[in-house]
Amino acid sequence: MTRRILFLLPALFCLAGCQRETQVEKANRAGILLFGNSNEPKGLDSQVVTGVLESNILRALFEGLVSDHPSDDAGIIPGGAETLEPDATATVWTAKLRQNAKWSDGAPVTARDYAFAYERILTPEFGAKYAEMLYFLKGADLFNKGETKDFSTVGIEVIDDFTLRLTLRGPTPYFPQILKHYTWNPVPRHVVLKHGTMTQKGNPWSKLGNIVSNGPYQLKSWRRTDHLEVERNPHYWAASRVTLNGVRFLPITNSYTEARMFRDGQLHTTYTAPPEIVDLMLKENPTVLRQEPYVGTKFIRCNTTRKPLDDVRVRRALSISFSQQEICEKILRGYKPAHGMTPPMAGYDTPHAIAYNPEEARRLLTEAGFPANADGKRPTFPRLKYLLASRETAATTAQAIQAMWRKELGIEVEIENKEWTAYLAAMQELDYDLADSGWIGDFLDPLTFLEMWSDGNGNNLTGWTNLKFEELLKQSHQEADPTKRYAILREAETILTGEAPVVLLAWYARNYLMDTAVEGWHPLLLDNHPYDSIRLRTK
Amino acid sequence: MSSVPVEKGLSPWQDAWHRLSRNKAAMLGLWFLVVIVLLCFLGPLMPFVKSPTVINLDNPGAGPSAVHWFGTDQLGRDLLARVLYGGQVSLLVGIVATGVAVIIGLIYGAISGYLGGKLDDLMMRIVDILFALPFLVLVILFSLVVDKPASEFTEWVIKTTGWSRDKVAPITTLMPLFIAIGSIGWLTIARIVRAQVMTFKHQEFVEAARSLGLGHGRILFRHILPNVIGPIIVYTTLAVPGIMLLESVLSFLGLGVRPPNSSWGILIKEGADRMETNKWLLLFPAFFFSSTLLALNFLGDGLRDALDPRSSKD
Amino acid sequence: MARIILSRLFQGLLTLFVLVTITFFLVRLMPGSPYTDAKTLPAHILEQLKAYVGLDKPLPVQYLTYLKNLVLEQDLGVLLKKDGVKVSEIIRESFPVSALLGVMSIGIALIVGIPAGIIAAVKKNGPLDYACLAAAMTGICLPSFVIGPLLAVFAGLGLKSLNVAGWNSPADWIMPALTLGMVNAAYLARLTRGGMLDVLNQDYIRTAKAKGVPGWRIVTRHALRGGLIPAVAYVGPAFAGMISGSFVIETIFQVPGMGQHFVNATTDREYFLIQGLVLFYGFLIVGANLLSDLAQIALNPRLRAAA
Repeated sequence: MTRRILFLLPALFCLAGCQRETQVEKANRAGILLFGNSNEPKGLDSQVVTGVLESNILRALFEGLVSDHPSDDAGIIPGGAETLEPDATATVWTAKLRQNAKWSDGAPVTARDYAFAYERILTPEFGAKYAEMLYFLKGADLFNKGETKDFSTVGIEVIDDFTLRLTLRGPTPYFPQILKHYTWNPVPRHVVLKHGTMTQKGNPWSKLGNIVSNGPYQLKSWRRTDHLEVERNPHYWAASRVTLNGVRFLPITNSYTEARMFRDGQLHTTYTAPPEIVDLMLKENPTVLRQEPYVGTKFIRCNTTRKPLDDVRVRRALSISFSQQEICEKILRGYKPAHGMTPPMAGYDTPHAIAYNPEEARRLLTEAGFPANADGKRPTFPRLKYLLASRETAATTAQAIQAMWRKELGIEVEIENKEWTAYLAAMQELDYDLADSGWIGDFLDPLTFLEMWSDGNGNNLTGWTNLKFEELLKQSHQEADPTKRYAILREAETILTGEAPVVLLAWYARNYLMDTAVEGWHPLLLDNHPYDSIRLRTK
Repeated sequence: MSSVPVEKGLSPWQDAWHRLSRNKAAMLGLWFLVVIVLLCFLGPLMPFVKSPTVINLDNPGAGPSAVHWFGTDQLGRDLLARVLYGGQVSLLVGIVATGVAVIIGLIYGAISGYLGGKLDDLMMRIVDILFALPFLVLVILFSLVVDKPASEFTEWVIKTTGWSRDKVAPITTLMPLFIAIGSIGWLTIARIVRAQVMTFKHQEFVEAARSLGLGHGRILFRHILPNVIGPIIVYTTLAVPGIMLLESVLSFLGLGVRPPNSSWGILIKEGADRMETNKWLLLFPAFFFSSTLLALNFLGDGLRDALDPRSSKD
Repeated sequence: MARIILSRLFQGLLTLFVLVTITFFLVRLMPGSPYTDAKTLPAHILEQLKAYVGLDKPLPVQYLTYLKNLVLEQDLGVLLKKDGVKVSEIIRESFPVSALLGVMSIGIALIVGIPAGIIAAVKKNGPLDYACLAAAMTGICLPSFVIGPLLAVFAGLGLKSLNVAGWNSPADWIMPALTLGMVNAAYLARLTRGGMLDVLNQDYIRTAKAKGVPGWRIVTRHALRGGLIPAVAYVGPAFAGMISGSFVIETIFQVPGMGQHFVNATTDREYFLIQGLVLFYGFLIVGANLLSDLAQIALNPRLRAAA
């Protein structure tokens, strides 16, 4: 009874103050993009943060030597550098900076700002988590690991205020792709030093009120766990080109809340759309649903230091005994079956390593010493634990695979879900049998999906190593010809997927919702959309 | 000080039962609970209840039908079976975790109240301190810390007893949950018990027992504690719903029940996420869960009225 | 009176000290560390990060340093995953939001719960009693992660004027406050009912009844004061509980409050943030208990005499 009265209350409030216009409509007129960004950014310092959601904000605030192309994944738009010239072997790159590039306080952006940023991220005391992104520079790893204190050994040279020369560890024809990553952004040296020292942890230069940026936008307001808004940077060198007046980032952690806010006209775009929302929108309003490929791979890590997963036949049997197609279509929505580690990208032909073949899988298991009984069960096969972080789609997928393995192979796996950090800790301590995992590429090159499997890499976490694989990776670092380099990488990937230290599941798709008023937003594999070319249509 | 009624030769328990059985809402709650418990624990043995783990990706999210009475979930599993099996887990968590809490609280509160003095002060101070901890955070911290020892315990049990994992694991994997909830939920009970024991320990019948030369343990457990049971039963019926809710929040964070096992809390959460595409996924589990809690609450209220000697005169 | 307050204050301080100690060691027993991330950190970077906040030192040293900073400089420490953010900043920013939400929810709970409880007690075992109880129970029995989305879909999406989530205008306060208030209204109604029933059975009420004082006057003039004691005792801790326990509601309605920090700090292993939040919460509880003790003394003449 009381409840019914309570339900009337909102209705009364409605009479009091009605707003006819949705927030999206209002924002369309104001030229502000309302952007669901999943969580609170961990900071706005390009040399400190590591996440995708931070990159969405940094892309609005900062500009590196090159910029993302709005519709072409491999495309490069000149950014802070007017020209970027490689030498004949693509090892030494010379950047001519544009003289009219300015920080949002009016100070010019100089080569020193770049060099300062690179020195900062590589200095061991600074403890930058993503310093490895700059290991492409000659001598960077030695300096970062503290094996030398002399920064001049790193391949960075400030020729003059507007000329920067970068010497790399080897031929890197795809270097401009790497440069798009935010770790290569410059920092305003004068502002950083005003608020502290170069390598000071927690230097407050990037806080609201202090921060100065060189991108199309500058920070306008920031209220933690509520919103972060950027506005036009009047000093941006191409300010006339910028179409949007601002972007408002909303840290909405609950994807169902996010979807409701979208449907209520509070958002232009969501960060994600869980499978149920995909189903709902297909029914309700399919025009706003976007399902686009994304450079990421979903897989199950196998702990190859444990029996029976040390046997390649067992790992292969697990890989080919369930239907990726079915998982993608019926559970993950929009994901694509993964026949290799590297998702499709232009110019690279991912080897076909995985084909659904339960017959072959059963044969492999029997051969590995786990024969089946008359009822199809394999009692000698140990009960493996399937570790996963408690996120719902992971649990759903795992349960489906669990059932498929039971049906096709007659084996039992036990799902062990852990809270996120406990899950990561277990994986990093190799305290698991099988672990639900995924990897999102940092840049558009197969290397970002292959290098992690090398010996001693912190992200390998399977115990798998292969000498030939290492050899090929090293070889690729020295190959200047892109076609030959891809061929080497392809060979390395063939070894990797043949040995199957991971059970491949699917290639990622990004499912999200996008208001029809947004124009100039094209599907991109890396999902790094430059904001300055987006337009909002008003009716 | 309330007098213990002794009327018509009925024991206080019979008296209470009489009063309870006159309370329609409480009796309805009681019978409903009996039915629910029977359904959840015996229902799965019936031939019409399917397996809760067999998936059918060709028939996900189906509405109620002759084959699947409650429809199917997102993986095409039978929802009726999942609701019943989930009920087992929820009821078990509710009962066991509350049981742990009651046992700890009873012993702690009784000792504190009976012995009194400095020790009582100290023991109650500890309770005060624990009360000032944010419950949810503490439960999360606890279950994270206990998680690993608990899974080692599972392995140990399987190894030493040779029982099948299917029987052991579903219970032992819930242990962190039991321990975490139980080891914090006892606080209120300890306070209630202590207060009760304090009022009883100077009453005539206790003095009498003492003059007969009975030991402290005997006095406490045979003479005082039976008088404390009433408020505890009441509290328990009222605490179980909260604990069942807590389980669902913890499972949501990955600290509780493991898939493919489920609980009402998890089913409701999954249903709430999908309520606009398939209302049945929310309606059925929510009905079972809410009506069970409702029944428990009515029973608890009825018990309180029935066990309160004063109300007998109304 | 002063002696009671003083001794309560001392107890409160002791409680806070023990809280800090328990939390300090408990958080460090959790699996993983603040630096456990989806991408594994290189060992040499990890060392630097730990050294920066002193996590490389032995535990007793860390503990003493923490206490020293806490007492001498009122410094709660920094966030480990958000560079340069202080724990005190997080509390300062999110507490007012939670406090506002808490006050509104308690308001709703009081307005709905107490009258419902009184009616139920007066009309004991009558249809009105059952109606009130049933309504109250629905509030208890439906988890907030069901009420929240239901409200958001039917009221938020249904009514143009109401946003389904966000915290930008007073209209945005309605749904989260209602959801949170409903649960507490239910508890309050039950507590009030119980408290009133106890009082209505007391001899002085019987006397009043026998003297022919009209029913409603008995309730308002005589019974209410005593009958509300359990409810009053509940309100203080409930307010504190709302702040730590509103995690679900905050994520459903996108409220920038404190509740989400309690859970996220734990899953993120933000050691100092957890410690700071627990301490702050303990501080609130101790304060609330003190206040509700005083209120109870004011309401209960017998206790007042004892003081």
